[in-house]
Amino acid sequence: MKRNVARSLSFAVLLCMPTVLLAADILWPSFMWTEANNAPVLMLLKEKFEQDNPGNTVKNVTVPIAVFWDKQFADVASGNAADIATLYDPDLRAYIEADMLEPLDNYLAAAGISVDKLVPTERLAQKGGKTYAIPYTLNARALFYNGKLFREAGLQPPTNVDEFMAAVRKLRKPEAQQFGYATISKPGAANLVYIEIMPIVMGFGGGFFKDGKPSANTPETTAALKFIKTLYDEQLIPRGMDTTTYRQLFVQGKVGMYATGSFFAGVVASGDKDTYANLGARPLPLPTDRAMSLTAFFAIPKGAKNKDAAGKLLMRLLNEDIQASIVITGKTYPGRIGMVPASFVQENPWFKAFEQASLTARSYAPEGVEQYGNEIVKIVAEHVEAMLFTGVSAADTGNNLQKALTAFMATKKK
Amino acid sequence: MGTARAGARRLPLGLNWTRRQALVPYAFLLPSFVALAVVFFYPMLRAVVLSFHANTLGAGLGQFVGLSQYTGVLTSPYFPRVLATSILWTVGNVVVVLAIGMITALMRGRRFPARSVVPALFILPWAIPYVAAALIWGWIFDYEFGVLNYLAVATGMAAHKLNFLLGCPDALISLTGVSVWKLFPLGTVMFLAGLQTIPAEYYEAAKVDGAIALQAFRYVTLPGVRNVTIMLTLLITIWTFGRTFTIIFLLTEGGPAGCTENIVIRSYLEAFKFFHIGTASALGVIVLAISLVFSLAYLAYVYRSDRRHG
Repeated sequence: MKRNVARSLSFAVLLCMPTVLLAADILWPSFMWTEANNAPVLMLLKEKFEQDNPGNTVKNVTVPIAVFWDKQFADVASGNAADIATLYDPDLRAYIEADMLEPLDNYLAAAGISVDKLVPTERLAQKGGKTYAIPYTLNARALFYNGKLFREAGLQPPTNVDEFMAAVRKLRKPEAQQFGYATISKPGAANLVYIEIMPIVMGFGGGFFKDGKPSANTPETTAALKFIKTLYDEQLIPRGMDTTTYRQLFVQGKVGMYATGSFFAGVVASGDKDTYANLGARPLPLPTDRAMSLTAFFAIPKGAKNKDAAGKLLMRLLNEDIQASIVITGKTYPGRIGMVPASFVQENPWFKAFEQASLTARSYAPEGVEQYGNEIVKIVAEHVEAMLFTGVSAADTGNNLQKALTAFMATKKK
Repeated sequence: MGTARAGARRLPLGLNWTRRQALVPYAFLLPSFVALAVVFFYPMLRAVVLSFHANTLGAGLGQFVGLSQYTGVLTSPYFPRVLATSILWTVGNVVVVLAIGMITALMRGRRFPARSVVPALFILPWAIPYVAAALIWGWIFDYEFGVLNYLAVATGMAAHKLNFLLGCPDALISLTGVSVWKLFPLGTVMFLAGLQTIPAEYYEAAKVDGAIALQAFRYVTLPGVRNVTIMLTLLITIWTFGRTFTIIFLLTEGGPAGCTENIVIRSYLEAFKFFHIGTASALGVIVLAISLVFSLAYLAYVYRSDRRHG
């Protein structure tokens, strides 16, 4: 009797073995799990994936954004990488160059997804013919404006630099703590400084690098720096204010214009219905139509414990239902081209500006030297801060930056 | 008879009573030693090892590069600047904390209104956590909505708003102010303790000799608190040179234009923003070496002081 029971149990264990062996708990720590625009999308993905793959689970761990990047790096560096990594443009290149990510080509092929169906910034995720990450959202920059403030001031949304400056000056009301435009003017947080100034620099046709060579003192870049300095010197933008605070000012109807990604519409929608009802967007009214983008990528670290399951999960993300959810719930352009529901654009006309920019936008990471992005960002931000806070002219800033970036690149050639 | 037998009996681990007694202090120290070894000595040793290896993003060590990380740091364009900032920051903190600590300690002995409330107010900054203090001061210093700028302009003390955190060296001065605000209660308490050890007869003798208040301070008070002053100087130097991170990181992150970036902040940026673990470790070891000099001076002073007092 006992022998029979033991045999039955062994058989049952053997039968369960394949399921147990294949089942995976995909560890996915992220700050996005509690973000208003991302959480519903990722929870939908988790639900759908777990339905399609019984036995597999997505272990969603919320890590506050303030510590997320440090923790992710510490986990990777200590050999305890999670199954999914979240990376923005320069970090992605640094991870790829350090050979820290798993190629995703087999998963893409199995899912029947061609790389050319992904947004153009996907090229950042490629090296040596292999693809190391998939784009989750693309945040191309365009200009949000508060239509109510423009109407009250008898203005039309600007279409060129002169109109832009005139609108910024007219909308500035110090007594009401109202600003025509908002952008970073707080020291520190180099990455934020860089991300906020780059749409303007690129809109002027400039950039700090071109094909891997410093280009900080070209006439276009200098003109952009001069434009930013004017906004600060004339006190047309909030001084010393962090991003969260001036975004909140926009939500409260105290800022006329703000250049950022479409995700911000979600912030406005949940923050103030009146401002959202008056929300408009258009391409930045700068000399060129070059737009800047910031792409959130997902990748699988080499040290991940459940690579195959994580690969399947990422491919599930590229399915139509999740891509549509990214647009509708997240109010952001998704990783796959052509996934924006027409009805969404009809209901949210402001999205057109972002859709248009997404297809041509370039990454904010320094062109050709993306892997050194974080160091370059620090150098640029320091010089821009010197221009804003210590009175260095725009032309001198461009020249000083050119020297500093050239010296920096010389250290990388050693 | 029974006691003698028990004394001669072998105790567990084959130790007799005398040896066991000798090991008791070490047994008490063991938990602390293990904790220190895990969270302090091992990471320190690991940092030293990493500083001799190339920067790598992944787990494990990069290629052995000898002293390259150190030469790289010492010859970098940022090192003289961050070292100078660290020194300025340390000197500023030490001098002002000593001065305010002494003044507030001396005030404690005077009669003035609300004398009983003031000591509690002096201790308050010490009790506020660094993160909370930094956030509060961030709003106080805020250019657009900060109360300091509001008061400065409203009272006519300033013609226009002041760049507390937006200029250089303004930001460094403002941050030093916050740090001093957090640290001076320690100075007050230590000076108070020091002042209480000076016999009242010394002041009476000085008064009989015709010394005015300033002379009594110069020739009685200062020599009387000499030990406290030296100890406080060394402690604050060690704390502010190698351990200041929170206030600077939360208020300026080293800006504007690197004006408030000290070695500790740079070390953090190298590790977590640029992924240069080896370089960050070398910076950490340099901070450790400099702090060690002050620590040794502190220990030597304590040792000599102990010997002097038997």
